[in-house]
Amino acid sequence: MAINRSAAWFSALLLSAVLLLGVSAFAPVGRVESQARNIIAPLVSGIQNAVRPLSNVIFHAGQVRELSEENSALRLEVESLQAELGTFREQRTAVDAAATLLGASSLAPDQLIAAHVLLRDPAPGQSSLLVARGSDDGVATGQPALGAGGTLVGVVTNVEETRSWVRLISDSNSSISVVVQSSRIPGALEGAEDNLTLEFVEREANVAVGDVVITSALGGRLPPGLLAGRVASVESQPQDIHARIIVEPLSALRTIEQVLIVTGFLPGLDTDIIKGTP
Amino acid sequence: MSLTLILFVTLASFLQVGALPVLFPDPWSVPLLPVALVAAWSVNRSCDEVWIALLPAAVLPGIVSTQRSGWFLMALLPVALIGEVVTQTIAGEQRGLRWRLPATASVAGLGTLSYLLLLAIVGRDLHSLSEAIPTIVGATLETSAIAVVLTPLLQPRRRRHGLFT
Repeated sequence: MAINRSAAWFSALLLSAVLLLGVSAFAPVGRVESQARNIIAPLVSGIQNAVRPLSNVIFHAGQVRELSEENSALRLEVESLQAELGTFREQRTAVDAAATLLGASSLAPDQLIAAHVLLRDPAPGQSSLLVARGSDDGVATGQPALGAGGTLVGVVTNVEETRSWVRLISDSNSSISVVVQSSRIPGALEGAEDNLTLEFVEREANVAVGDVVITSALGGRLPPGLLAGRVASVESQPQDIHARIIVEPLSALRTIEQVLIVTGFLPGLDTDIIKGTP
Repeated sequence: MSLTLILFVTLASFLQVGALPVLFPDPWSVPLLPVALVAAWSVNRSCDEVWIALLPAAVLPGIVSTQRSGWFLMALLPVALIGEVVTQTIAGEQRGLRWRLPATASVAGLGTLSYLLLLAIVGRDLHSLSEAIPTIVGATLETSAIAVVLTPLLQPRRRRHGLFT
Protein backbone atom coordinates (compact mmCIF):
# COMPACT_ATOMS: atom_id res chain seq x y z
CA MET A 1 0.00 0.00 0.00
CA ALA A 2 2.81 2.37 1.03
CA ILE A 3 4.73 1.41 -2.10
CA ASN A 4 1.71 2.19 -4.28
CA ARG A 5 1.35 5.57 -2.61
CA SER A 6 5.02 6.34 -3.13
CA ALA A 7 4.83 5.24 -6.75
CA ALA A 8 1.90 7.60 -7.23
CA TRP A 9 3.85 10.47 -5.63
CA PHE A 10 6.91 9.70 -7.73
CA SER A 11 4.88 9.63 -10.94
CA ALA A 12 3.03 12.83 -10.07
CA LEU A 13 6.23 14.71 -9.24
CA LEU A 14 8.00 13.39 -12.32
CA LEU A 15 5.07 14.61 -14.39
CA SER A 16 5.22 17.96 -12.57
CA ALA A 17 8.92 18.24 -13.37
CA VAL A 18 8.26 17.55 -17.05
CA LEU A 19 5.40 20.08 -17.03
CA LEU A 20 7.62 22.68 -15.34
CA LEU A 21 10.25 22.12 -18.02
CA GLY A 22 7.62 22.35 -20.75
CA VAL A 23 5.88 25.51 -19.57
CA SER A 24 9.11 27.32 -18.68
CA ALA A 25 9.62 28.02 -22.38
CA PHE A 26 6.46 30.15 -22.51
CA ALA A 27 6.81 33.90 -22.04
CA PRO A 28 4.06 34.36 -19.39
CA VAL A 29 5.72 31.74 -17.17
CA GLY A 30 9.05 33.50 -17.68
CA ARG A 31 7.44 36.75 -16.55
CA VAL A 32 6.02 35.09 -13.42
CA GLU A 33 9.46 33.62 -12.71
CA SER A 34 11.04 37.04 -13.22
CA GLN A 35 8.58 38.64 -10.78
CA ALA A 36 9.27 35.91 -8.23
CA ARG A 37 12.99 36.50 -8.74
CA ASN A 38 12.50 40.22 -8.06
CA ILE A 39 10.96 39.31 -4.70
CA ILE A 40 13.38 36.54 -3.74
CA ALA A 41 16.66 38.02 -4.99
CA PRO A 42 16.80 40.84 -2.38
CA LEU A 43 16.07 38.30 0.37
CA VAL A 44 18.83 36.00 -0.83
CA SER A 45 21.16 38.96 -1.26
CA GLY A 46 20.34 40.03 2.32
CA ILE A 47 21.23 36.56 3.61
CA GLN A 48 24.51 36.68 1.68
CA ASN A 49 25.39 40.08 3.12
CA ALA A 50 24.58 38.83 6.62
CA VAL A 51 26.77 35.74 6.20
CA ARG A 52 29.70 37.48 4.48
CA PRO A 53 31.32 38.76 7.72
CA LEU A 54 31.14 35.21 9.09
CA SER A 55 32.79 33.84 5.96
CA ASN A 56 35.51 36.50 6.26
CA VAL A 57 36.17 35.39 9.83
CA ILE A 58 36.28 31.73 8.80
CA PHE A 59 38.52 32.23 5.78
CA HIS A 60 40.86 34.68 7.49
CA ALA A 61 41.00 33.16 10.98
CA GLY A 62 44.55 33.03 12.25
CA GLN A 63 45.74 35.60 9.76
CA VAL A 64 45.21 38.67 11.95
CA ARG A 65 48.94 39.38 12.29
CA GLU A 66 49.62 38.91 8.59
CA LEU A 67 46.61 41.06 7.70
CA SER A 68 47.77 43.79 10.08
CA GLU A 69 51.24 43.84 8.51
CA GLU A 70 49.71 43.76 5.05
CA ASN A 71 47.44 46.63 6.03
CA SER A 72 50.43 48.77 7.12
CA ALA A 73 52.27 48.00 3.89
CA LEU A 74 49.18 48.80 1.86
CA ARG A 75 48.71 52.13 3.67
CA LEU A 76 52.24 53.13 2.68
CA GLU A 77 51.58 52.00 -0.87
CA VAL A 78 48.32 53.96 -1.02
CA GLU A 79 50.13 57.12 0.06
CA SER A 80 52.77 56.74 -2.65
CA LEU A 81 50.13 55.82 -5.24
CA GLN A 82 48.07 58.90 -4.37
CA ALA A 83 51.11 60.99 -5.13
CA GLU A 84 51.56 59.19 -8.44
CA LEU A 85 47.86 59.55 -9.20
CA GLY A 86 48.14 63.31 -9.19
CA THR A 87 50.82 63.11 -11.85
CA PHE A 88 48.85 60.62 -13.93
CA ARG A 89 45.72 62.78 -13.80
CA GLU A 90 47.62 65.57 -15.43
CA GLN A 91 48.95 63.21 -18.09
CA ARG A 92 45.47 61.75 -18.65
CA THR A 93 44.06 65.17 -19.34
CA ALA A 94 46.68 65.68 -22.02
CA VAL A 95 46.04 62.22 -23.53
CA ASP A 96 42.25 62.76 -23.58
CA ALA A 97 42.72 66.02 -25.39
CA ALA A 98 44.97 64.31 -27.93
CA ALA A 99 42.46 61.46 -28.40
CA THR A 100 39.67 63.94 -29.04
CA LEU A 101 41.77 65.63 -31.65
CA LEU A 102 42.55 62.32 -33.35
CA GLY A 103 38.90 61.21 -33.17
CA ALA A 104 39.87 57.89 -31.68
CA SER A 105 37.27 55.83 -29.79
CA SER A 106 38.00 54.43 -26.34
CA LEU A 107 36.13 52.75 -23.51
CA ALA A 108 34.54 55.89 -22.08
CA PRO A 109 32.79 55.96 -18.69
CA ASP A 110 29.41 56.53 -20.36
CA GLN A 111 29.82 53.17 -22.12
CA LEU A 112 30.02 51.35 -18.79
CA ILE A 113 27.46 50.73 -16.10
CA ALA A 114 28.20 49.36 -12.63
CA ALA A 115 26.06 46.44 -11.49
CA HIS A 116 25.94 44.81 -8.05
CA VAL A 117 25.98 41.03 -7.92
CA LEU A 118 22.68 39.96 -6.37
CA LEU A 119 23.37 36.26 -6.27
CA ARG A 120 25.31 33.39 -7.74
CA ASP A 121 23.71 30.58 -9.65
CA PRO A 122 23.21 27.83 -7.04
CA ALA A 123 23.12 25.07 -9.67
CA PRO A 124 26.36 23.09 -9.38
CA GLY A 125 28.59 23.56 -12.39
CA GLN A 126 26.87 26.77 -13.49
CA SER A 127 29.07 29.85 -13.07
CA SER A 128 26.61 32.68 -13.58
CA LEU A 129 25.80 35.83 -11.64
CA LEU A 130 22.49 37.67 -11.35
CA VAL A 131 23.27 41.39 -11.44
CA ALA A 132 21.06 44.34 -10.58
CA ARG A 133 20.96 45.96 -14.02
CA GLY A 134 18.73 45.12 -16.95
CA SER A 135 17.36 46.29 -20.26
CA ASP A 136 16.01 49.46 -18.56
CA ASP A 137 19.65 50.43 -17.97
CA GLY A 138 20.76 49.66 -21.53
CA VAL A 139 22.07 46.17 -20.85
CA ALA A 140 21.78 43.76 -23.80
CA THR A 141 22.65 40.13 -24.40
CA GLY A 142 26.26 39.60 -25.44
CA GLN A 143 27.69 42.65 -23.72
CA PRO A 144 30.89 41.98 -21.77
CA ALA A 145 31.09 42.33 -17.99
CA LEU A 146 34.31 43.60 -16.49
CA GLY A 147 35.82 43.12 -13.05
CA ALA A 148 38.54 44.87 -11.11
CA GLY A 149 41.01 46.66 -13.35
CA GLY A 150 38.72 46.39 -16.38
CA THR A 151 39.43 42.71 -16.90
CA LEU A 152 36.84 40.53 -18.59
CA VAL A 153 34.87 38.42 -16.12
CA GLY A 154 31.91 37.31 -18.21
CA VAL A 155 29.28 37.98 -20.82
CA VAL A 156 25.62 38.93 -20.41
CA THR A 157 23.52 35.94 -21.47
CA ASN A 158 19.99 36.81 -20.42
CA VAL A 159 18.40 40.19 -19.80
CA GLU A 160 15.27 41.15 -17.89
CA GLU A 161 13.98 44.66 -17.29
CA THR A 162 15.91 45.30 -14.11
CA ARG A 163 18.22 42.29 -13.83
CA SER A 164 20.58 40.29 -16.02
CA TRP A 165 22.47 37.03 -15.93
CA VAL A 166 26.22 37.20 -16.54
CA ARG A 167 27.91 33.94 -17.53
CA LEU A 168 31.42 33.97 -16.06
CA ILE A 169 34.38 33.09 -18.26
CA SER A 170 35.00 30.14 -15.92
CA ASP A 171 31.65 28.53 -16.85
CA SER A 172 32.15 25.27 -18.69
CA ASN A 173 29.88 26.53 -21.50
CA SER A 174 31.93 29.71 -21.97
CA SER A 175 34.18 29.99 -25.03
CA ILE A 176 35.77 33.29 -26.00
CA SER A 177 37.86 34.26 -28.99
CA VAL A 178 41.20 35.60 -27.73
CA VAL A 179 44.78 36.35 -28.75
CA VAL A 180 48.00 36.13 -26.77
CA GLN A 181 48.98 39.79 -26.47
CA SER A 182 52.73 39.47 -27.06
CA SER A 183 52.77 36.95 -29.92
CA ARG A 184 49.27 37.68 -31.40
CA ILE A 185 48.56 33.93 -31.49
CA PRO A 186 44.79 33.35 -31.63
CA GLY A 187 42.90 30.75 -29.60
CA ALA A 188 39.70 30.00 -27.75
CA LEU A 189 39.54 30.69 -24.02
CA GLU A 190 37.29 28.10 -22.43
CA GLY A 191 35.96 27.81 -18.91
CA ALA A 192 37.25 24.99 -16.75
CA GLU A 193 36.38 25.05 -13.04
CA ASP A 194 39.00 27.21 -11.25
CA ASN A 195 41.15 28.15 -14.20
CA LEU A 196 40.64 28.66 -17.91
CA THR A 197 42.15 26.75 -20.80
CA LEU A 198 43.48 28.23 -24.02
CA GLU A 199 42.46 25.86 -26.78
CA PHE A 200 43.51 25.41 -30.42
CA VAL A 201 47.03 26.79 -29.98
CA GLU A 202 49.64 24.77 -31.81
CA ARG A 203 52.26 22.92 -29.81
CA GLU A 204 55.16 24.92 -31.25
CA ALA A 205 53.43 28.28 -30.79
CA ASN A 206 55.33 31.00 -29.00
CA VAL A 207 53.36 31.14 -25.74
CA ALA A 208 55.09 31.48 -22.38
CA VAL A 209 54.03 31.54 -18.75
CA GLY A 210 53.05 35.08 -17.79
CA ASP A 211 51.82 36.09 -21.25
CA VAL A 212 48.65 38.16 -21.13
CA VAL A 213 45.59 36.95 -23.02
CA ILE A 214 43.20 39.56 -24.45
CA THR A 215 39.92 39.34 -26.33
CA SER A 216 39.93 39.26 -30.10
CA ALA A 217 37.60 40.92 -32.59
CA LEU A 218 37.19 37.59 -34.39
CA GLY A 219 33.47 36.89 -34.78
CA GLY A 220 32.51 40.33 -33.48
CA ARG A 221 31.12 38.83 -30.27
CA LEU A 222 33.33 40.86 -27.92
CA PRO A 223 35.21 44.14 -28.15
CA PRO A 224 38.88 43.40 -28.84
CA GLY A 225 41.62 44.23 -26.40
CA LEU A 226 39.91 43.37 -23.11
CA LEU A 227 42.24 41.69 -20.62
CA ALA A 228 41.01 38.13 -20.08
CA GLY A 229 43.77 36.31 -18.17
CA ARG A 230 47.40 35.41 -17.77
CA VAL A 231 49.07 32.18 -18.93
CA ALA A 232 49.76 30.06 -15.84
CA SER A 233 51.24 26.96 -17.45
CA VAL A 234 52.11 25.57 -20.87
CA GLU A 235 52.47 21.85 -21.39
CA SER A 236 52.73 19.70 -24.46
CA GLN A 237 53.72 16.18 -25.37
CA PRO A 238 55.47 15.29 -28.64
CA GLN A 239 52.33 13.51 -29.88
CA ASP A 240 50.05 16.49 -29.17
CA ILE A 241 48.83 18.76 -31.95
CA HIS A 242 47.80 21.50 -29.57
CA ALA A 243 49.51 22.72 -26.42
CA ARG A 244 47.73 22.42 -23.07
CA ILE A 245 47.67 25.96 -21.81
CA ILE A 246 46.16 26.93 -18.48
CA VAL A 247 45.17 30.56 -18.08
CA GLU A 248 44.39 32.14 -14.71
CA PRO A 249 41.72 34.83 -14.64
CA LEU A 250 42.87 38.28 -13.58
CA SER A 251 39.87 38.82 -11.28
CA ALA A 252 38.78 36.73 -8.30
CA LEU A 253 35.72 35.28 -10.03
CA ARG A 254 34.39 33.42 -7.00
CA THR A 255 34.21 36.45 -4.75
CA ILE A 256 33.23 39.15 -7.21
CA GLU A 257 30.61 41.54 -5.80
CA GLN A 258 30.31 44.15 -8.53
CA VAL A 259 30.83 44.22 -12.29
CA LEU A 260 31.00 46.85 -14.99
CA ILE A 261 28.87 46.09 -18.04
CA VAL A 262 30.02 47.58 -21.33
CA THR A 263 26.64 48.93 -22.46
CA GLY A 264 28.33 50.86 -25.25
CA PHE A 265 29.10 47.60 -27.06
CA LEU A 266 26.61 45.90 -29.37
CA PRO A 267 27.74 42.38 -30.35
CA GLY A 268 28.34 42.02 -34.05
CA LEU A 269 28.29 45.76 -34.68
CA ASP A 270 31.03 47.48 -32.69
CA THR A 271 34.55 46.21 -32.99
CA ASP A 272 36.55 49.34 -32.36
CA ILE A 273 35.31 50.25 -28.91
CA ILE A 274 38.76 49.90 -27.42
CA LYS A 275 41.92 51.39 -28.71
CA GLY A 276 44.75 49.17 -29.87
CA THR A 277 42.59 46.49 -31.45
CA PRO A 278 44.39 43.35 -32.61
CA MET B 1 3.69 17.22 9.85
CA SER B 2 4.20 17.74 6.14
CA LEU B 3 3.63 21.43 6.69
CA THR B 4 6.46 21.52 9.23
CA LEU B 5 8.75 19.77 6.79
CA ILE B 6 7.73 22.12 3.96
CA LEU B 7 8.59 25.07 6.22
CA PHE B 8 11.96 23.56 7.18
CA VAL B 9 12.78 22.69 3.58
CA THR B 10 11.90 26.21 2.42
CA LEU B 11 14.17 27.70 5.09
CA ALA B 12 16.91 25.22 4.15
CA SER B 13 16.54 26.20 0.48
CA PHE B 14 16.92 29.87 1.35
CA LEU B 15 20.10 29.06 3.28
CA GLN B 16 21.25 26.87 0.39
CA VAL B 17 21.00 29.62 -2.23
CA GLY B 18 21.86 32.52 0.11
CA ALA B 19 24.33 31.58 2.80
CA LEU B 20 26.17 28.50 1.58
CA PRO B 21 27.58 29.93 -1.69
CA VAL B 22 29.33 32.58 0.46
CA LEU B 23 30.74 30.01 2.88
CA PHE B 24 31.67 27.49 0.14
CA PRO B 25 33.02 29.40 -2.88
CA ASP B 26 33.49 26.23 -4.95
CA PRO B 27 29.99 25.37 -6.26
CA TRP B 28 30.73 21.63 -6.19
CA SER B 29 31.76 21.68 -2.54
CA VAL B 30 28.50 23.04 -1.15
CA PRO B 31 26.66 20.58 1.14
CA LEU B 32 23.01 20.20 0.17
CA LEU B 33 20.83 21.19 3.13
CA PRO B 34 17.44 20.29 1.58
CA VAL B 35 18.80 16.89 0.57
CA ALA B 36 20.10 16.28 4.12
CA LEU B 37 16.76 17.32 5.60
CA VAL B 38 14.67 15.22 3.20
CA ALA B 39 16.94 12.21 3.75
CA ALA B 40 16.82 12.51 7.53
CA TRP B 41 13.06 13.03 7.54
CA SER B 42 12.34 10.10 5.23
CA VAL B 43 14.34 7.67 7.38
CA ASN B 44 13.35 8.97 10.80
CA ARG B 45 9.83 10.23 10.26
CA SER B 46 7.82 9.25 7.24
CA CYS B 47 8.69 8.66 3.60
CA ASP B 48 5.19 9.75 2.58
CA GLU B 49 5.70 13.24 3.98
CA VAL B 50 8.83 14.09 2.05
CA TRP B 51 7.44 13.95 -1.48
CA ILE B 52 5.46 17.18 -1.32
CA ALA B 53 8.42 18.95 0.33
CA LEU B 54 10.48 18.39 -2.81
CA LEU B 55 8.47 21.12 -4.58
CA PRO B 56 9.70 24.12 -2.54
CA ALA B 57 13.19 22.56 -2.49
CA ALA B 58 13.16 22.61 -6.30
CA VAL B 59 11.23 25.78 -7.10
CA LEU B 60 13.33 28.20 -5.02
CA PRO B 61 16.73 27.32 -6.56
CA GLY B 62 15.00 27.17 -9.95
CA ILE B 63 13.84 30.76 -9.60
CA VAL B 64 17.29 32.09 -8.70
CA SER B 65 19.19 29.95 -11.18
CA THR B 66 19.76 29.72 -14.91
CA GLN B 67 18.78 26.08 -14.55
CA ARG B 68 15.05 25.23 -14.73
CA SER B 69 13.00 24.27 -11.65
CA GLY B 70 11.93 21.07 -13.42
CA TRP B 71 15.53 19.84 -13.49
CA PHE B 72 15.97 20.59 -9.79
CA LEU B 73 12.78 18.64 -9.07
CA MET B 74 14.00 15.68 -11.14
CA ALA B 75 17.35 15.83 -9.36
CA LEU B 76 15.62 15.68 -5.97
CA LEU B 77 13.31 12.77 -6.80
CA PRO B 78 16.01 10.09 -6.26
CA VAL B 79 16.54 11.35 -2.69
CA ALA B 80 12.95 10.52 -1.72
CA LEU B 81 13.05 7.35 -3.80
CA ILE B 82 16.25 6.10 -2.13
CA GLY B 83 14.78 6.98 1.27
CA GLU B 84 11.69 4.94 0.43
CA VAL B 85 13.72 1.96 -0.80
CA VAL B 86 16.06 1.97 2.21
CA THR B 87 13.20 2.29 4.68
CA GLN B 88 11.04 -0.36 3.00
CA THR B 89 13.92 -2.79 2.53
CA ILE B 90 14.99 -2.78 6.12
CA ALA B 91 11.54 -2.09 7.59
CA GLY B 92 10.51 -4.44 10.35
CA GLU B 93 14.09 -5.06 11.36
CA GLN B 94 15.99 -3.14 13.95
CA ARG B 95 14.90 0.53 13.75
CA GLY B 96 16.95 2.00 16.60
CA LEU B 97 19.40 4.86 16.35
CA ARG B 98 22.12 2.40 15.39
CA TRP B 99 20.12 1.59 12.27
CA ARG B 100 18.90 5.10 11.59
CA LEU B 101 22.28 6.82 11.55
CA PRO B 102 23.91 4.77 8.74
CA ALA B 103 20.61 4.60 6.86
CA THR B 104 20.24 8.40 6.97
CA ALA B 105 23.86 8.92 5.95
CA SER B 106 23.46 6.50 3.03
CA VAL B 107 20.27 8.13 1.76
CA ALA B 108 21.80 11.61 2.03
CA GLY B 109 25.05 10.53 0.38
CA LEU B 110 23.44 8.68 -2.51
CA GLY B 111 20.90 11.48 -2.89
CA THR B 112 23.66 14.09 -3.10
CA LEU B 113 25.55 12.10 -5.73
CA SER B 114 22.46 11.57 -7.89
CA TYR B 115 21.47 15.25 -7.51
CA LEU B 116 24.89 16.53 -8.61
CA LEU B 117 25.20 13.98 -11.41
CA LEU B 118 21.81 14.82 -12.92
CA LEU B 119 22.39 18.58 -12.75
CA ALA B 120 25.85 18.15 -14.27
CA ILE B 121 24.37 16.13 -17.13
CA VAL B 122 21.62 18.64 -17.91
CA GLY B 123 24.09 21.50 -17.52
CA ARG B 124 26.45 19.72 -19.96
CA ASP B 125 29.16 20.03 -17.37
CA LEU B 126 30.48 16.48 -17.15
CA HIS B 127 34.03 17.68 -17.76
CA SER B 128 33.98 19.81 -14.59
CA LEU B 129 32.23 16.96 -12.78
CA SER B 130 35.09 14.58 -13.49
CA GLU B 131 37.63 17.17 -12.32
CA ALA B 132 35.65 17.95 -9.18
CA ILE B 133 35.31 14.37 -7.93
CA PRO B 134 37.33 14.95 -4.68
CA THR B 135 35.27 18.07 -3.99
CA ILE B 136 32.03 16.19 -4.67
CA VAL B 137 33.07 13.44 -2.29
CA GLY B 138 33.61 16.17 0.32
CA ALA B 139 30.17 17.67 -0.34
CA THR B 140 28.61 14.21 -0.11
CA LEU B 141 30.25 13.52 3.24
CA GLU B 142 29.24 16.96 4.52
CA THR B 143 25.62 16.41 3.47
CA SER B 144 25.63 12.97 5.09
CA ALA B 145 27.11 14.44 8.27
CA ILE B 146 24.40 17.11 8.40
CA ALA B 147 21.73 14.45 7.90
CA VAL B 148 23.26 12.37 10.70
CA VAL B 149 23.26 15.39 13.03
CA LEU B 150 19.58 15.93 12.20
CA THR B 151 18.70 12.30 12.96
CA PRO B 152 18.38 12.53 16.77
CA LEU B 153 16.53 15.84 16.39
CA LEU B 154 13.96 14.31 14.07
CA GLN B 155 13.28 11.17 16.02
CA PRO B 156 9.55 11.18 16.72
CA ARG B 157 8.48 11.66 20.27
CA ARG B 158 6.88 8.45 21.37
CA ARG B 159 3.93 8.46 23.76
CA ARG B 160 5.05 7.05 27.06
CA HIS B 161 2.52 4.74 28.62
CA GLY B 162 2.34 5.38 32.33
CA LEU B 163 0.58 3.47 35.04
CA PHE B 164 -2.81 5.10 34.45
CA THR B 165 -2.68 5.74 30.71
